[in-house]
Amino acid sequence: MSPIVIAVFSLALLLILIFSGVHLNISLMITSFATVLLFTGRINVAMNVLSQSAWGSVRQYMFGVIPLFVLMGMLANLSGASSDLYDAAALMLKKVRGGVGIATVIANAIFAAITGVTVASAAIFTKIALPQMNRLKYEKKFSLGTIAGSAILGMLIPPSLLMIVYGSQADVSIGKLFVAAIVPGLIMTFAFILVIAVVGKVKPEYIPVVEELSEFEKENYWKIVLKPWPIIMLILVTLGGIWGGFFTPTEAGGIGAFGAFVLVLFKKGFNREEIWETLLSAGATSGSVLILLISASTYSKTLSMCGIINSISFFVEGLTIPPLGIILIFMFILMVLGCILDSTSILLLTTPLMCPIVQDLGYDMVWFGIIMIIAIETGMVTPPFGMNVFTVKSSLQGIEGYEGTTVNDIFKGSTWYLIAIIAVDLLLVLVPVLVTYLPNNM
Amino acid sequence: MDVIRKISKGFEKFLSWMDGIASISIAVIMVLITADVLSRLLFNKPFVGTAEIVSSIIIIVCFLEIPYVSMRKGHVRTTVLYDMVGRKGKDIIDIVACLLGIVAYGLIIKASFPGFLNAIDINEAEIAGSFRITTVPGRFAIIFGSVLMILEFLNQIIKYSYDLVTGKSSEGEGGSK
Amino acid sequence: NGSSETGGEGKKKITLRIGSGHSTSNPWITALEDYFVKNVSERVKNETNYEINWVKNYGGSVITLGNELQGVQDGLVDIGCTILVFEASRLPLVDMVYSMPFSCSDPLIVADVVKAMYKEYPEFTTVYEEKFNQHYLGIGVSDPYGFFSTKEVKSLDDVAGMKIGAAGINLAWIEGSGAAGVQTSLNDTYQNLQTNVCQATIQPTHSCINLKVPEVAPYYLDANFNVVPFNSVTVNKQTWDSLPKEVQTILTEVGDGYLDYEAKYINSVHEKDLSDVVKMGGKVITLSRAEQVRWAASLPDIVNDLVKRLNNAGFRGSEIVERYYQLLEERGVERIRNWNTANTK
Ligand code: NA
Ligand code: NA
Repeated sequence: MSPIVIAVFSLALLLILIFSGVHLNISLMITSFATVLLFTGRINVAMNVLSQSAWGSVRQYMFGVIPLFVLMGMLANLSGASSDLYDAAALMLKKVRGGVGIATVIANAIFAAITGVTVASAAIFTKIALPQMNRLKYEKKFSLGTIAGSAILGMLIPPSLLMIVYGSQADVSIGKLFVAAIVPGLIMTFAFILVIAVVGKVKPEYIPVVEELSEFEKENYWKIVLKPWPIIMLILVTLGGIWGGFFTPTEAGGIGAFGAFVLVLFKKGFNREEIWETLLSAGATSGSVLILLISASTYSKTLSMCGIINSISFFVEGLTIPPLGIILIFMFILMVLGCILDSTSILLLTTPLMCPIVQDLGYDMVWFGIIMIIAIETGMVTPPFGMNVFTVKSSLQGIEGYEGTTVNDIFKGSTWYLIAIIAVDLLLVLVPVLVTYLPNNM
Repeated sequence: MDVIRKISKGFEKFLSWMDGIASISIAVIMVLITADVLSRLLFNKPFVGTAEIVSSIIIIVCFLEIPYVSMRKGHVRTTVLYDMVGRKGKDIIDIVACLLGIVAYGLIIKASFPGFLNAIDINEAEIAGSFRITTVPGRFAIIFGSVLMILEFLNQIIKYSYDLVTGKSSEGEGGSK
Repeated sequence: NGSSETGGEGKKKITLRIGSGHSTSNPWITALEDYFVKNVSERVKNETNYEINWVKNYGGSVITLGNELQGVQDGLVDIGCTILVFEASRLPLVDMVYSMPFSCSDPLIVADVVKAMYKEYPEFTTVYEEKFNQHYLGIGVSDPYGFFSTKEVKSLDDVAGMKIGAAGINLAWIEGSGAAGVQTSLNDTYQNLQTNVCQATIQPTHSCINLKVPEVAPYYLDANFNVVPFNSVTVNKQTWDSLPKEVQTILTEVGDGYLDYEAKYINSVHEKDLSDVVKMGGKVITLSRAEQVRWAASLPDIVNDLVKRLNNAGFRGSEIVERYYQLLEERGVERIRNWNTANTK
């Protein structure tokens, strides 16, 4: 059977399974099994694709980064770092129009440097920042959007689970990806701040009240501002360590998690229950990511084995579209997929198909990884399926003033940020040096 | 149903112990790596075999966690269609998904078994100089975790079928994200 | 998978999936493509009623580094090139030279000896059939293992206190030298040397040149660590059985010639690599024979450990290991140390 026929069968089966609601890991494994069986006619071979991936694809030192960075973020959160960061930023920006919103963005950006996942930030900052914005009479949708939007920084600023997944799938150095994401992450942070500043100017009724510092805040100004210093130190040690080459990402994860653990001990003492809960949930998150990597590797092996990747590359490269056009089409596809799928799934489904083509076109694979991840992250705030929006919605319980909020309100409020994300991604597509400069000068 | 419910509760308890073991393993990785780096930076003496130990633990973490994650409905799935159908539709989707899961993990077990036996037979190990770490626990974890996955799928199928037939909830709520 | 369909010109097409964990930027894979794939294609086309349709899966796209042997066993590829450094535990006999440091660093001599050994002891090749569901086609040798360092090394004393990056079984070559081994994959080598995680590395020379290692570790020490049988070419048993006799014959004959072609190619690549070291601003130093003797003497008797391991695994360990040294001696290569090749100490 020709690879094209098999490719069509394989993709159709995969999409049917995924959209029917079968779990992604099972969909990928069943599709791989069926595809290889069809191609080789050998049931043993089809079965062995599954066992080979189970055994070979995550049993590497590098994948230590997954549980470790997940644990580090959770422990840092347990230590109260996120609210310390927010308090410090909010105090410094108090007299600025939109200051509380900007503080949310900045606290998110800094906290992002220690967490590898984004959903947590959305949940935490709903609890911390939303009541403040409500008190200052921010327009409701806009404040909700600010939280859903800025939580995206969690994945764009290293460490990032998506970068780890991309690095392992596309065979690109995770350390380089982390370093490459620093400038784009800062640009994105700046773009979000710009959104708030612009909204404050154009629609002052969205951000009506600007406050003065209270007596208490004046007296304790530096105490509050400097309170997050340990978490900043931890970020400098872990990310600085990767950047400076003192240790590999896995080692940075180990040290970072250990540092966060020490932080918890110092700030909250040894609460066995809380620490145990954190450890358990880090374990569960890691397990679900690792099995996704295994099943995705099954699928990408299958695509190579059956010659599907070659056929698709051949087809795409035969189109009379300039290379940049192909990149833009890819970005568009990723954003459309973002409407209906979650980020990790999109990355796992598309890297084996897109990366060989992009590589053949001669593009930098670190750069492509970053612009790809940003495009995929738009999906966090686009309907109908937007993970950050859902998280904000489910964290609204018990917050005063937001009782009647619908998911659609949050999607609407996020539009400002969606535009910013797309604009930044386009900028990086057109000016690749913003991404490639740092990793190439490591 | 009472007996089944009891067995099911006991099984779920067992899965959370596995979650506990896996989570402790992560703490072990954390401490091991920190000690390795400190020893290298301070005493110029890196540990031999850290990489092999960490990679062996990763596979164990993965396969001990997935049945627990499955029990907690934590595996990634799309719910676009799922959210649109009624109660019965949801039950049917869940049952089909579980059946496919049984097939997938059954295939993994069948295909992994010869490698496991061979590993015991030849004393298969990862080697770093004269340091050897056996691959047997890792290979066993894949089979053990997959068996637990299948049992958990059966556990869920019983619940969903009960829901489907009686129209009452056995206890578990429908699938979430 | 040996599945055949009728193609143009009345020739039946046979699809063969070939792969390795390494990519074509490695000389042994280049040789596989330029010699093996090319000759098999041509000969099958010219001499039989068949035509080969290759599906190429190099660079770990189907069988990843360290999982190639099992990949061929499982049929993930039809023909696989297994990088043997990761197979010390599954193929202890095939990998024995890894545990015999300072034996010989001339690819042509090692190739010649390996050929003689494989003729004399069929267990080198039958092991694939008996234990791993695959049929042996050919074997290749490595280029001399390189020792790149950030400061000049002329003697065993210079390495004391150094952190040396190496992968897997090679770490045994520095145990006792006073240096500390750092487990390093090839991909991390450049950065580890640049940032002083280690001050030297032991890796196949050509791979280091590819990664521009001399830029950060300019001193190349010709330490005579070894040339080893490095990569085996095997075909899945079910695939093999499904192939027409005449195609089997061609695979066997071309596979037989792979070693000579590959060793010659590696040898020429290595000469160019040494001049590239200098071009990149590096310096080539040769470890004197006296220092080699000292270095070998500093090691535990790893050859004796090897013999015991092989004997325990049911091979004629003492005899085969001794024979390897004898064959080298017949070609004028003296053994560096009086290793105990008998089972008992
Ligand atoms: Na992050
Ligand atoms: Na979306």
